[in-house]
Amino acid sequence: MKIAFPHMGNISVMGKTLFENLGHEVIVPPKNTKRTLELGTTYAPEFACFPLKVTLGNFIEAAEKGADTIFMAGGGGPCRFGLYGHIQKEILNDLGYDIDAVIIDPPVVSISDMLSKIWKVKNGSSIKNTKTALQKAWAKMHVLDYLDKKLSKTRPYEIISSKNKDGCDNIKDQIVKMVDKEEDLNKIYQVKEEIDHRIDNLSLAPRPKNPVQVAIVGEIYMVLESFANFDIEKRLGEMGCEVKRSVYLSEWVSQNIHPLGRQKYKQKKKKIEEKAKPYIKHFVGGHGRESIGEAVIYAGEGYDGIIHVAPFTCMPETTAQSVFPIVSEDFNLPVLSMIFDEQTGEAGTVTRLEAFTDLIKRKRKTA
Amino acid sequence: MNTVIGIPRGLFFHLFNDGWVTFFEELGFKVKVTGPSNKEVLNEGTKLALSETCLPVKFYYGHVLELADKVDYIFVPRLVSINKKEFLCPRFMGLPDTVEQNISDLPPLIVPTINYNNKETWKSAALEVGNQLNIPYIKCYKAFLKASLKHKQTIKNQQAELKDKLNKDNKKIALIGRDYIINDEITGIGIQKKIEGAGYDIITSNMIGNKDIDEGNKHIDKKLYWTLNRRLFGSALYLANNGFVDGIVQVITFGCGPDSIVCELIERKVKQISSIPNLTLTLDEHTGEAGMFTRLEAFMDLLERRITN
Repeated sequence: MKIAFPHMGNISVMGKTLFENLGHEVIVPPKNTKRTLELGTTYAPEFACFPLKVTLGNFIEAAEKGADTIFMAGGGGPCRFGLYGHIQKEILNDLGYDIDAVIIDPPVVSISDMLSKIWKVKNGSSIKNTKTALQKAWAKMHVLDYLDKKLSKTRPYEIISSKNKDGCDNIKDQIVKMVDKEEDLNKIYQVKEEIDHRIDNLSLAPRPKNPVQVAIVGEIYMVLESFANFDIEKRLGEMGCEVKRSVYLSEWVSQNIHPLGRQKYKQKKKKIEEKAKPYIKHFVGGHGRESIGEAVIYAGEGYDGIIHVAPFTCMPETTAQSVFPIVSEDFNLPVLSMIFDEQTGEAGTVTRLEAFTDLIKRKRKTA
Repeated sequence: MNTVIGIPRGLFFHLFNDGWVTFFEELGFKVKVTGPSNKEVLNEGTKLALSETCLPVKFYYGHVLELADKVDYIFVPRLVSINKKEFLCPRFMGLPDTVEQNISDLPPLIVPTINYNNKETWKSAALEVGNQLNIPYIKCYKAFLKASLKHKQTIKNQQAELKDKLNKDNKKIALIGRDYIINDEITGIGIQKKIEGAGYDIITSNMIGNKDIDEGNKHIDKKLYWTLNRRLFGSALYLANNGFVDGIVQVITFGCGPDSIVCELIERKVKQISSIPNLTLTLDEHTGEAGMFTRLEAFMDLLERRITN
């Protein structure tokens, strides 16, 4: 079984470790490029949402490299995501690739089906082996999220000069490669010290007492996948904003999959729903209600602005988007909704971000 | 009692109109339903709604606005799920909220939640509405029973229609689309008339019984979790597999999330099991009738040639 899975943020690093340690051959799709997107948009349904197209592109490129099984998460609705894997398999088969799909649905759909699929992925490894595979994947995810959080607090103050070659971008590239290669559990965690060390060695402008803070909320794929959102996290950093994402992969996994973490998260979730209530009173699928609730919470924490990202025609997020102007007015909080699809251009995105950061900085001065 | 309940003629009104109207009339209210969609309704709706949402939601906004200063209450149910373990489109779950936030000066809304995954059934919704309007329990329950009987009768009649049509020797086209698209004055009626004008009988998904829908759904190994799309997929595959129709016309609107995926699934799966041609028409607020009709005519010419050969 040559397994392939789509890119989403740093997920490939962890996926590769997990599956390889379970004894599968893993075909990591080539990095997202224009070609990925072109392949995806050519063969995907025209009005499907953007993540489906990019991930289809990943699968086609993986199939070209010889993958024979695609791995996808499923779902029981109401968002389209639950059917991604099925339609992608159909398309790949029609294109002539003999490909099987392993789609893991959450237990609400069918517990027996979920267990049988997990059994298939587990591939006869011993419990001990499975445990280490999970631990390594978890550690890598954790370390890479640590890196991202740290970098977002560093980027706004980075002094770029010819002497200062080891900038944030380089650090990110090198650390990701380092984590990807590392196979010893303790050493994976030690990379954290390496991250601290490298960032401490950067020449930085002093961090102000009251830094400009922006939060990114919205649909998980668009928040995490820097290719799809034109690297807004990095760009906002370079424009002088400290960025917080509403989703980090390791947090997401502990909040939604890890049994203990789920219990812990329940309270936080309740708070988010409570805050969203004046605007959206009911679950609207995906992450729509949470986007609103989180924005309200960030407003209370003194954030300067919210960037709301979503794929074009995303059903849950359009509901959120249509009440965001009112949230923005009620809390005097600038909100920029950015809707992405294959037509979105880089220059337009940057211009809008620049205008937005100018606005929040001026708002501070006049306040 | 002179209280007037307004019901917008949009979205699920096209599926449950008989039940809803009967229910409120049995309670002794006057019911005002907006007129058929027209260009003005669409224009007003488009101004109010977010540009990214789908066409039927824009129509719905227009209908709500039309009722705003004419009635005492507007009925905007929150439809989450009308079958266990299934959903409707996520947009309907937040619809009452977005309507309330985006249209100002509305009379009070009646917003019962229907969610079969959470034991919020039509019955509990009816009683919730009665509570809000200060109606005695018994009266409310009776009205609910009458309404649901009426609705069941309508479904029976529709399914009887299928038998009639299948027994006749006429040429047949399966018109696969959501009820609120193919039964809307602007988006669907024109297409229906055009097809019938060319001598075809139309078969729609609400003429197909649940058993046959299930049979059609055996062609996909994952359960389609949207109730309407499950119906559409099931009917298209059932009709194609049994060779009951000469062609399939799918009507979807731009920006419809579930349809964007399931329409493609229907196309691919029908191709795998039969040679029945498929035409997909995608509508939005800029769609011109002439272009649509030309494509329909060309499609029907093709069917004609296939039938004679």
